[in-house]
This record gives sequence, structure tokens and C-alpha cells, in this order.
Amino acid sequence: MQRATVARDRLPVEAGRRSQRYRPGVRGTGILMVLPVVLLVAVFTLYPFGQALYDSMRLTSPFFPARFVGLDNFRGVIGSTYFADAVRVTLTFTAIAVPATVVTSLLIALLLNERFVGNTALRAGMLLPWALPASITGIVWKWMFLDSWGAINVGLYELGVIDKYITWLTSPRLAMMAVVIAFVWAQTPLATALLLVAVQGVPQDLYAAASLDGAAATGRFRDITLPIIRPTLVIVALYQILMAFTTFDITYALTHGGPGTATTMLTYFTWAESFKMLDFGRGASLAILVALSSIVVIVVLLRAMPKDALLEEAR
Amino acid sequence: MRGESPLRRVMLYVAALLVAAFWFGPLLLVGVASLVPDGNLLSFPPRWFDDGIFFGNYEYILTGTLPETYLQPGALRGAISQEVRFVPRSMLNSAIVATGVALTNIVLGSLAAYAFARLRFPGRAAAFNFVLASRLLPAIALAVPYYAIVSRFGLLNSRWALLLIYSVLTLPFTTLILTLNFRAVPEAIDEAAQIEGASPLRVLWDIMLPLALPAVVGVGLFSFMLSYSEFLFALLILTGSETKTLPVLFGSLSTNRDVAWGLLTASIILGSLPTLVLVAPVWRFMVRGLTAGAER
Amino acid sequence: MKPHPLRMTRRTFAAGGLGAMSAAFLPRIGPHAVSAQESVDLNFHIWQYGVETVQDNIKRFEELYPGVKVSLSDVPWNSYHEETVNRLRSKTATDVIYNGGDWLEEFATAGWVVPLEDHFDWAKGYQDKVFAFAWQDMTFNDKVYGLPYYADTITFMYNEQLLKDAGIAAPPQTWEEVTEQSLALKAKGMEFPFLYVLAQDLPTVSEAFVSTVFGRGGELIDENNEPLWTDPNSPAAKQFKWFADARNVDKILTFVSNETDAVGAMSTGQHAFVVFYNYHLAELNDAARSDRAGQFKIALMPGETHECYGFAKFYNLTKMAADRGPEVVNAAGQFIQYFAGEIDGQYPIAKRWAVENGLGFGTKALFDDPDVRTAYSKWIDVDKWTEQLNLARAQRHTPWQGIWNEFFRLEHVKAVAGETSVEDALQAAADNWNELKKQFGG
Repeated sequence: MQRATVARDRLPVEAGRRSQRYRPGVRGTGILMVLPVVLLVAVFTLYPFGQALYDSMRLTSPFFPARFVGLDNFRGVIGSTYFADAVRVTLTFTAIAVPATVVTSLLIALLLNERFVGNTALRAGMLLPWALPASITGIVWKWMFLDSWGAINVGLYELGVIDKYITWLTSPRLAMMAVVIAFVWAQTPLATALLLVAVQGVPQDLYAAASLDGAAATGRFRDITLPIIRPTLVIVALYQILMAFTTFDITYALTHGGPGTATTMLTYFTWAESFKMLDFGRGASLAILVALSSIVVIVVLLRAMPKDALLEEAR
Repeated sequence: MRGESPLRRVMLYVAALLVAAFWFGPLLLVGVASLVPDGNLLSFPPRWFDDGIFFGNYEYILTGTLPETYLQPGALRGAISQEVRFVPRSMLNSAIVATGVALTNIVLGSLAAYAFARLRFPGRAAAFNFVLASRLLPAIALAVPYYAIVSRFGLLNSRWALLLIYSVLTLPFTTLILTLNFRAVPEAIDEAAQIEGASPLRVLWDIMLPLALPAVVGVGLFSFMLSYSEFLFALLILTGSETKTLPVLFGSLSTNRDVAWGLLTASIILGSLPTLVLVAPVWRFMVRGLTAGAER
Repeated sequence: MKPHPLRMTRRTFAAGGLGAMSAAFLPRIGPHAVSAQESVDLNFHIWQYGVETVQDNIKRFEELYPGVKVSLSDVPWNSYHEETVNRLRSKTATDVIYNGGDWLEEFATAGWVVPLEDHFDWAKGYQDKVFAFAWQDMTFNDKVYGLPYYADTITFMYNEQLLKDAGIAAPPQTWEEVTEQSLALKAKGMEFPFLYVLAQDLPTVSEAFVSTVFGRGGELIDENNEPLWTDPNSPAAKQFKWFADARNVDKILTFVSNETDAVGAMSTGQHAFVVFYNYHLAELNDAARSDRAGQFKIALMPGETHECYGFAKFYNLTKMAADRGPEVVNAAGQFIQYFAGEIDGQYPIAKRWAVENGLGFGTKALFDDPDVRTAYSKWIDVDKWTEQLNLARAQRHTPWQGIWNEFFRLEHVKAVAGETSVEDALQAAADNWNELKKQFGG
């Protein structure tokens, strides 16, 4: 049989090449080869999602027999002030952290595109923040911001900038700022690297021409660099939005969502609802809300993105 | 290059210094703190460097020998937790799970990728899209049901559960990257092999894998790093101090009132070492892969 | 519970003294007839506090009972509730656990822990030997579930020197006086005279709040488990408002997120008042740790009645252990008795915690123990402490309290941090209480 197919494949015609991939034996092989991955992914996404849907409509708690409660869990979750808090905090965080990350990364990318001593060291060293597990990142920054003996307070005190320690982690706004800074720290390396590649892709002769025209640096950036790196910029921003929207590890280690709910985002709230409040039904309904809203975010963003951004990317 | 003003040079270096301070400063300070006795660390007004460099924290984590400063009168805090002694073991736990995930990714991922890249079978496009789209679900949405399922099958506190979950989280990316890479191999090459009578598996093993080796190693390392650092699922599933992975241990250390900061910071330095060794190759691969994707 | 053990510093400090003493506390009583059969494995699940002392105690126990092997699992204090629930729910091997009154009813209702008296005849015999508030904390549905690991009070402490320097002769008697004295101290340059330990994930916060409410003679709930703080004139509501006002109106209060930081902050002399576990006073007055040792004093809890919250943390047998059969139950019984019970007229482990760490104790016998008295008198005015101890009482508990506390702390932090109004916070806490009460059919 094998022999027969091989013989057929010898036909030096286009049709023959196509038919090669339709050989019955290989066709079965193809299914067999993708089966483990597809099955694994299916079992671990469809089943859990189904389970979440099921749990979300039931009372699921270690203390009571489970029972069907319809949409009560959703009503309870959406009606609670904690949910409103978590949504507000998540949106605020995303609205601050994403622009901060993108702008910082872009500036650093432009910087790294210049020639200076130490450039290579910076490029190599930027692996550090990226490589650390996020729960460690949280502790690193806790050490920086700690109210009573954190490095920042000690540093500022030694420099004579302050004479009383600043209560970074127990003041709601400052705690949020601390989480944003830790997030930016962990996210800038990858974003910078991507943007750097894009910036390097700008043909030098365009700049040369612009210089002849006497264009100012800002003008050069706006008219030449920006249009070319825009696709990358869009992708980086999209990615950061998703990362910010689902931040968990950093807040867990740095603030535990506190003080109060000042840094409690949807993901942390979902976790707490299930594992601290022990209401797994509500946790599941929250999980579904988070899943739906992040899918909505993705779709909306993809739509809102200028059409030519994607087209340019395709070039 | 283009005649630059001195002012511009100065600003350039100031900016570079700022970036360096931002990126490396925190870790540097962690390193410094790990070498300062706790009593000095927690003093007010601060006197970090009055008593010289101190390696006792590392010694305790690695050998269990109590640092003298924790026994000295005048140390502000006598707190010392055994938990930091689990750091080496948690690194091993993380490495075991991550290695398993990397191997799973390479084996299953390249099988699927080859089929997606070269073979025709019903449902191919649908299966491919399904695998990729699965990652649109945020992790937290899966966390609660995963916990329910894992506990139902009695796999709580088991590395197998983590291995499965991490494989599911990393395989879509692996499959995508390998599919793209296999497609980039000229068809004539494996066609010739098939003409010789080689089966798809043989072609994959003898031709595709060697040709796409950098990508294969890359996805392996990538999934290794992701699994090594993953926190949320590990937090939910691991309950015993013997099985905790590195990120979970640190999550726990971050809330442990018995941990002296000197020990915590020394743990961070030790715990980060393996990641730092591995990071360079993964990084190259990530950046190259992602930017190649963006340019295509 | 989870304070930082000053044991390390102490031990060296008094290397010869205390160390030798504690060795003497642990009499080598002959091994009970343990047959040379295969050994029983016990899992002992605790929150992290003095883990090395615990391990040392385990070692001594194992030497005495060679047929029992004890494995220890320790988790952070502030995630103890959820981690323990996860363990018990998922049937991860767990035989003896630390427990507290605020979680007992929840764990018992879920069927995870069993009454000690159902399995051991000796359990009931301890009723007269244990302080009433401690016994009440270990009792649910008229059955006793444990023997005390330690029992303590949450007390009010002040820095006598700082008050004296500001011309204040006596510590405050009421919360209004706390405010007055704080304002006076503030006028003299002290930024935040009152230090509070406050974080949404720290179980201690709930207990500290209750203790301050007790000072006013209040309660959180009535005998029908109805919330009392919905009345703005209730002691609970007043006290809740006091904390928020102290931060946001009078600006005399700052907070730290754990006791360790609080001990450190008090030792810097930047604060005059603090409310937390009584044994922290031992740390504050430890000359090895603080330049201001000796300045810290206990005062009766401010308020009309000066009552305070007394509680027990105790060793609890799990249902899992009970289901493993008589050999395991027997071994667990030996373990609990060794750790908390009377051995040759002594309570060696409880005494060790009291002498070395300053932890309170549940057993009346230790109150008159000369070694304990000597150790205590080094850091606390024993008469004042006795006065407060006599005013200590247990809290009413409900099965949903452990869960509700998680909500309550959130509202408490939000109110103190100024993120929500006192009224809204109290209302939210009441709504949540009522919802849980309905769920639990209470």
C-alpha cells in the first residue's frame, strides 16, 4: 500500500503533490498526531468551562449540600460593592499601568536605539526583571516600599529628602502606585525589546532625508518612526492590556489586595471569593464574568484597532 | 554619527542611568539586604552598613546553621522561619514540573505541529483554531473549575495535575510556533524523503526536528520558564510544604511573619539564580520569534 | 499565635538559665507501654509560630513514644483559615490541628473536626483546671473539642515614659481619654500616638477589634446571633467609629499590617498606645530587642467595663484521624495529652511557651507556678495583668464567623483607610452577616 502511494506521488504534476497529503494512511496519521494536543486542550478548557457554568448556578460551599440556585450567584456578585470596587480598581489599574508601560518602553527603546557606552549591558540586563517569577517580583517591590524599613524610605531618609517614613503600602493611592510600578518594572523589558526591533526597522535613509529637510527630532519621530512602528505599538498595547487586566501574582505578594480593597482587582477578587470566602459558586460566576469580559475586551480592541494597522502588519 | 551636541550626549547618559537604576536597582538592593544582619536592616534611624558584610542568611538556607546575629542580644527581631530552608527543595520541585512540561511540549507539540503544517485531514483548520483560541480564556476563569476537578480526582497536591495544566497552557503557543517553523522548511526536502518511503513520523524525526531545532529548543525552554514561574494554579493545587514550587513558596514567605527580611532577600537571590542561567537563550528565542511574527 | 518568637534571642541570652530550666520542665516519664508494632504516622498541622520550638517538642514526644512518628505541616498565620479548609476539604492527611474559637464552629459544622470528649475519657476532666473563657472557646454544642496550646488576652498597652514626658500621669480609662491623650501627645510632636495592627488578611484584626468592644462592655452579636452593631449607639458601632475617626478626623492613628512590624514600630518610640496580644508585651520589654524595654506597661482595656477578649488556641482532633481507627486515635490522644495535658502534675509544653515566649496559658495551675511568675514579672505588672485576666471573657461564636470575619476585616480596613463611610461599612458588614446567617440556617 505504501508502495502504491509512493508510486502515485512520483507523478510530477501539481495534482500529485496535493493528493500526496490526502493519502488515506497519512490522513489517519494526521488525526492521530494532533489528537493528544487537541484532546488535552479540549478536556482542560471545555470541561472546566462547563464545570464553571454548572457551579455558577449552584450553591457550592464546603458547608452545605449543593443545590441549584439559578442566577442568584451572578446577582449576588454583581450587586456586591466588592465587585464594583474590583471593577473600578481593575479599570483604574489598567488605565494607568498600560500607558505607563507602553510609553516607558517606547522611550527606552528609542534610547537603546542610540549609540552609547553601556548600551549592550542594558540590553542584556533587561532580562533580569523579565525573568523573575512574578511572586518574587512582588516581594522585591515589597522590600522597596515597605513602610517601616523599606529601601525607598531608608534611601530617601538618608538623602535627607524625608524625615518621616512614607506609608506607601497602607495608603490606598500610594499602594496602587506601588503595584503599578512593580507591574511596569516587570513588563517593560519584553515591550522594550519588541519596540526596539520595530524602531531598528526604520530605514536610515528616511532619517537622512528628513535631516536634509531640517526636521526636528520630535517631527522626525511623529512623521517617520511612529507610522512604521505603529503595528508593533498596537500589539504591545494589546498584550499589556490583557496582562494588566489579569494581574494576580504581583498584588498577591505585594499588597494582598489592600489596604482594604484599594488594590483588589477582579482576578484577586475571584480568588478571594472562592478561597477566602469559600463560596465556590460565586467564585465560578465571577470567573465566567471575567472570562466573558476579557473576551469582550479583546474583540472590542481588535475592532477599534485601525484596519490598516493589521494590514501593515501583514506586509 | 550625525554631529551630536554635547548636551544631547549628557541627556542620553542620564537617561541610560535612570533606566539602569530602575531595572537593576531593586534587585541590587535585595542583594545588599541579603548581606546585612537583620538588626541593622530594621534599625531606625537606619544603619545598614555598620557591621560589615554578612553571609549568615545564605548559610542558614543552605545548611541550617543559625546565623549568630539572630542569637545576639540587640537584634531587633528573633524571627527566623524554617520555611526558607525549603527554598532549594522548591527550586527542585519547580524544575521537575517544568522539565516535564517542556518535554511534553516538545513531543506532543511537534507531533501536532507537523500534522498541521504538512498533512491534510478533516477538521484540520478547526482543530488548529480551537487550540489557539483556547488561550483566550483568562487563567483565573479556569482556576476555580480546575481546582474543583483536580480535587475530585484526588490530584490535589500532586505534580501530575500541575504538569497537565501547564501543558495545556503552553501547548497552544508551542503548536503555533512549531507549525510556522515547519512550514518554513521547503516542502521539497520532506517530499523527497517521502518518496523514499519514509513515514510522517520518520520525516518529522529525521528531517523536520533537526531543521527546526532552534525553534524546538526554544519552545521547550519557553514552556519550562513559564511553568517554573507559574503561581496561580500552583497556589491552588499544592498544599504541602514538600511539594510547593518556588513561586508558591515565595507567595507564602511574603506573608510569613516569622521570616526575617535578611533571609527573605537571600532566598530571592538563591531562587532567582536558575532562572537567570536559563533566561538568555529563552529571551533570544522569544524576541526573535515574536518580532518575526510581527514582521511577517 | 503567630508573633515572632523572641525565643532565639532569649535562649542565648539566658542560655544557661531558661534553657536548662525548660529541659527540667520536661520530665522523662517512662514510655507508656507502646508495643513494638509498626509505627503510627501523625500529621500535625499548625500556623507558623516558633516552628523550631514545636519541632523540638515533637522530637521529645517521639523519644517518649517511639511508636509514633509526627510530621509537621506549617502554614502562614494569615492564610491559615483557607489553607486548612482546603486541606480538610480535600482530605489531605491531617490528624491534629491548631484551632481557635472563631473557626471551631465552622470546622465542626463541616464535619472536619471531632469532639475530644467523644474519644477520650480524660478530656472532660480538664474543665475545672482550665480558665472558663478558654474552656468556652474550645466548646461547641456543649462538647469540648480541644486542650489549650495557649490561652491569652488581647490587651491595651502604653509607653509609660512617653506619657510621663508629656505630663500625662495615668493611662487612659476610656476611649475618649485615649483620644484626648493622643491629641495632647500629638500637640507635643508625636505624629501618630495610637498604633493599630490592621490588614484585611490578618485574623488577629477581628480579635483585637472584639477586645476593644468588650472594653466598652459590648458584644458583636446577641444570644440569637443577631448583629448588634446596626445600632449606632451600640458599643460595637461606637468602637468601629472610634477607629475610623482616630485615623480620619483626629489623625492620631496609623496602622501596620502585622504584629512584627508593630513591635518594631513601638520600639522606635514613635507611638504611645497599641492593642494586641498580651505576649507582645514580653517582646516590647525584652532588653535584648529594644532600647525602650521596660517602658511598656499594660493598662486595663479602656471603656466602661474594662473587659477584654480572652481566647484559647487549641489542639483539635480531625475527623480524618478519627476515621483512621483506634490506633491512630490513641496516638493522637497521647500527642495531645503530651502537648497540652497534665504530666506528673506539670504542664511542660504550655509552661515552656509561657516562660520562653510569654504566651498566655489556659491552665489555672500555671498561674501560680513560680517559674512562670518569675518569667512574667520581668515584662508585665503581674497584679494589673491578673486584674485584666479576671475581666477576660470569651466571645459568642457562630459557624459562619470565620467567613464573615474575612468580610468584616475588609470593611474595617476600608473605613479606617477612609475609603468608605463608617455607616456604609457597618451596613455592609450587617448585610453580609445576615446573608451568611440565612445560608447557615442560624
